[in-house]
Amino acid sequence: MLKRLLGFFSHDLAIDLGTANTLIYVRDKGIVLNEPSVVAIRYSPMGGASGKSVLAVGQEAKNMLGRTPGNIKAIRPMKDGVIADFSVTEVMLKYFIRKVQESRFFKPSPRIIICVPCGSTQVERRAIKESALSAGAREVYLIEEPMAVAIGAGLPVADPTGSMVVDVGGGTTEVGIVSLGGLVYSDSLRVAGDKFDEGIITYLRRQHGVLIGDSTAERIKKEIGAAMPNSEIREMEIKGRDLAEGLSRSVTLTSKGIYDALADPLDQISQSIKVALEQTPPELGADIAEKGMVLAGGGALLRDIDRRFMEETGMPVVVAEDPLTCVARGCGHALEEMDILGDVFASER
Amino acid sequence: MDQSENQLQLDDMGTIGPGRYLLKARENQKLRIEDVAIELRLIPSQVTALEEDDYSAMPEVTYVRGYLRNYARLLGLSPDEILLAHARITRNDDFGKVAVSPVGEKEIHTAGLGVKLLGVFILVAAIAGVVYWYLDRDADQPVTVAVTPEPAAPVTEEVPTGSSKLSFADPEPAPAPAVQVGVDAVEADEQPAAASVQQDSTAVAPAVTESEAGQMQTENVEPVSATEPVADQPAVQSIEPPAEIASDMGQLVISYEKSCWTDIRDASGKKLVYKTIPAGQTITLEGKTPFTLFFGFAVGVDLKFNGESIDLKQHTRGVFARLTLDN
Repeated sequence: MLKRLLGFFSHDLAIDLGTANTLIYVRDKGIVLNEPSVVAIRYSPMGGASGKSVLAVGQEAKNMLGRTPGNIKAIRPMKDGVIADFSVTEVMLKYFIRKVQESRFFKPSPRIIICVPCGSTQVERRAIKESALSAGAREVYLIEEPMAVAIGAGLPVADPTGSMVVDVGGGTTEVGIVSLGGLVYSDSLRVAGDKFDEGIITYLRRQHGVLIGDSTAERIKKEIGAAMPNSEIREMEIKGRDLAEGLSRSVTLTSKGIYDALADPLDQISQSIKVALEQTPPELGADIAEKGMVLAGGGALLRDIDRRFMEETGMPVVVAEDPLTCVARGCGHALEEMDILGDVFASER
Repeated sequence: MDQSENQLQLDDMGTIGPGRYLLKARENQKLRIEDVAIELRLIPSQVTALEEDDYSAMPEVTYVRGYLRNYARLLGLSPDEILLAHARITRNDDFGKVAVSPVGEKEIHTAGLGVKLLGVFILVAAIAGVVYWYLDRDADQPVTVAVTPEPAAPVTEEVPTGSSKLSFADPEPAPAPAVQVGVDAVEADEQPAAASVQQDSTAVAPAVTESEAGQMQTENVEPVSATEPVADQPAVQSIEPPAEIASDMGQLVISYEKSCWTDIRDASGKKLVYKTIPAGQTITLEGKTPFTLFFGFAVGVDLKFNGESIDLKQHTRGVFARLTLDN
């Protein structure tokens, strides 16, 4: 009853609780928050009952990644699209929900839609739901990521026509085929942006004998990463620790080398797309072959990734408008039209 | 290819769709429609449709804009300018908000100002109701406790003309309840009867007299007992107290040298005191015996029961003391 009353003072929210970034869409306002899913925890005897206290959340915490002293840990509570640390996720959600609510006087108690990977287990979905409820949500609805992407990209999800979406996120790659308001086929692959970063770190260690951190790997991927061997050549100079001497050393990287580093995870994603096309019913397959597939997520910004998938599948591939916010926009549209799109929400199975 | 020819002029973009510029750029690069179709994985008729700005046979706008972006990149044009031109001819700048299904009257779920105000009103009314209930509950609970700052100060209460005046300093045990004082943590059910006893001014029910009103610290004095004039007192209110009640009553005088948590209950289990009393105060209690007493810091407490000092050391364990006192 109290939560319902407090609900009058809260805006309904749609949350893209991603491995890399958390985006929040507020009803009638749009996307109002886009921050890294990182929490910095300070461990000290004075830090409350458990000896832990939250130092920073979001961008400020991300800036601390890999640069913290012994008593501070910068944690990414989401891994592979699901919760890896329940209590820290709850703290992060609570912080973000509080941040986007206008009313500082009343404790927010909004209705929340959260997207989940289509391959997540019942336990993982329950964990996300419980986490949102603990963070103050009045009601929590789950929506599968491929459906959110399709809605966010403006595809005709309710029509009797097949639409294929590929969302290359931070922790997972979601492949889905949507028709008549439901997912005809969906697959979740735990290979995405994080695996790209790992590939770059491994490449530099093996080929150049230099150790770099996650943040540097991400910067390399964004600046000179390429998905095609014949992409325009770009160069970049980075600094890392020489594994043999233990001293700092500069290395000049080319996009050709980074393509080699990314080849393995890209191949796995291509394979997953091909499997999806094989599994698609023929009528829907014809629709998809004619229109093509839509790419979304941060991975869609990797240079020439659409060309690569185009060559491997022989289909048109288009990148969605503003692919980074596509999932959040899709959740937001579902929130705005919750009554009409009632059956797009996922259950805990 | 002459790049300058491919640069789109914004003036022209306002009137001409992106197809013309794509066509011109393709011809400059001497590419056939079939070549473009193979590169973009489209069918030639779709490429022609794009160049003619005819989107009637094309799929949804998301796909069209994707094709245009790919086509522009293939020809070395700026995708943003081509998409801007497309947006202008379709008069749709906001492709991030494409409706996901045909919507009629869009229901607005966000609470409006009126609903919010109603919510605030209900909340305030609920809080006011709780506060009223709480205060009302306290007002219904008369008690018999006088709290004095100085142990030696005479604690008295003025009674109507004709009534006798008896002091608490009197060492004789007081067999009947006397003072009508309300203290929030104290409860006593016998008070209406006690009030009548006091006004009757009988020797059996000695009342407390007040010599210096300024020295008395009391709260919520019962208006029924002491303040009404004699003429207003109907004879019916004078009730003789039963003798057996008087014999059950006991008096406690507790002086606090140090602040101490105090829990005192009478024979019926009613909490006469249930709070921390600060140092320097003296409280006087009357009620039905036996009393059950608990002092959280017994060292700082001096206790008298019916005028006799009680040695708390016998009942002290550690710093607290628990005891029962009966007549």
